[in-house]
Amino acid sequence: MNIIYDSGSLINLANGHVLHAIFNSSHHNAFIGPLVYDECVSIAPELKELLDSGELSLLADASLTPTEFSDLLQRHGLGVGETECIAFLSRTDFVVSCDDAAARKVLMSLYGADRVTGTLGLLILAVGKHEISLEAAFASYQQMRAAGGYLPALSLEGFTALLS
Amino acid sequence: MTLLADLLAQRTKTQLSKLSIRSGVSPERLAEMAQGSDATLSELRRLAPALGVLFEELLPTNQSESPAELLFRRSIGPGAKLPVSASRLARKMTSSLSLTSSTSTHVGPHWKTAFLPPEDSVGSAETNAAIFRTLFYGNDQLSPITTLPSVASERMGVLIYVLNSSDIDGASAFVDNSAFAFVSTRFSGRMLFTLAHELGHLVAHHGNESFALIDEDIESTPDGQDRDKEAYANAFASALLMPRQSVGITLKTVRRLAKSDSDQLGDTEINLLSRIYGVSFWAAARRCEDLELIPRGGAYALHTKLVELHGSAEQRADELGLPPRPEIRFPKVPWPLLQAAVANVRAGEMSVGKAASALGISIADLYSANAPTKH
Repeated sequence: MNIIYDSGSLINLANGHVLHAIFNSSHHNAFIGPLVYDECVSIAPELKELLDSGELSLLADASLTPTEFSDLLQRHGLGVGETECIAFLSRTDFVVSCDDAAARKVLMSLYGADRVTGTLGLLILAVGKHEISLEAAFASYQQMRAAGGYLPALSLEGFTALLS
Repeated sequence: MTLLADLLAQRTKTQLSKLSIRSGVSPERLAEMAQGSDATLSELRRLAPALGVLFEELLPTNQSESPAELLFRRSIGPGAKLPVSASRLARKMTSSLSLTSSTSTHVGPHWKTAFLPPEDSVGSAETNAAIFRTLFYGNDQLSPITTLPSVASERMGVLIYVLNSSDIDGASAFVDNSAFAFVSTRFSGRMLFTLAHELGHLVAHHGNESFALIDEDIESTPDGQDRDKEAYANAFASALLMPRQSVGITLKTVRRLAKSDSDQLGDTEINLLSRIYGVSFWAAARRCEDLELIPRGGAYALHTKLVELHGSAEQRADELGLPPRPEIRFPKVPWPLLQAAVANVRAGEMSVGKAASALGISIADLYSANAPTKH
């Protein structure tokens, strides 16, 4: 599975210290757009390292025109990184990892729920494939919330229930 | 003309050369874009941080002027050219109002009717400055108020933005019951005076109609219809930051400590006033002129002399070993808007990217604001 990441999802994964674990997971290839990369200033060194190691790939925006981008931005009322994800999804069969409620709503309405995942979904997938333990995934989720991640409030039971 | 072409056209050849190095866009392409040639998305992405603007501000747009931009245009009169920063300010105001529209129960500033109308420029400015200190500083009519940015933001509810603009000193506006003050990044003493000046415009505004004013250079005296408004705002700022009685007491104390009998006021005393009250030498000297402590024209003469002999008034103050300037902290973003942004994102009413862009902060900042310790 090819996954393009939105900024919020990357920041959450970094705050939960699972960027490497998720990107090295056997189930997907990770991609990032240039505008999302620019938005992630707080985790730029980690992203640079991942790009250098090949765990993450930078997509080229040469095929996007400013006018097309501006139209998408005004039509959907999202941020530039989220809009860039919309633009790339329209040109590929990628899935997007996005944690923002408003952006997910737009992405799902445009491309369907199958092409939208998020940090919680990726954590659960990694747990299901025995790449991360349930306890480690839940601890990571708690760290993301503690750092201000806009994620739903879940108890361990609620988190575990997502596995089923 | 696009904002990009405007921003490039106002730069000198040397500045464009530096911009080329910072952005990685060739000087030839910059010259073409300054003439109106379309930029690619990648070029806009690289140029935005180098120009100190948001990427989305450089995108082409079919939108007509916003109501806020029209207010700025109305304030400068027909035919006059609107500063490049005006459209950016208008966009910030529109974004700010979009953040508060779904969560606000705002009924307008409580202080709006507390001030006198500015009938007599200088007289009512002094009175209104005293009213300001009564309302927001517990009637302290003497102390320096270097906390003005946080007090104006938190107690007055003014939405204060610090700008990275070279073409204006500041601006103020009252739109949809929200008061805005914009201050460009400069030397801290000048920024404090600019904020007080913009607050002067806001407290002088009576009635419910919207207004927006741009101050390109608050140290110069404009011609025409703006002359009285600007004189009033400067008088308000001077009286607010350096109250008459307070300056008198300070000078008396300084003379006593220096064991000086002289009534003459020199650059040392004025420099000391500027450091105590957190304003520039120029603002302190102009206040001394208004209080008839030095003759008219004395501020200009003293300032010119200091620049000639010492490079700057600040340099002279440092050579004299005067106490350092008080730190003046401007909030990064208006606190009420940050709270509104967090609430909007949590409720799924606005995306985190859109909210961060509206506030001009990073997404990580908006995450930090949502951390449990912050609410």
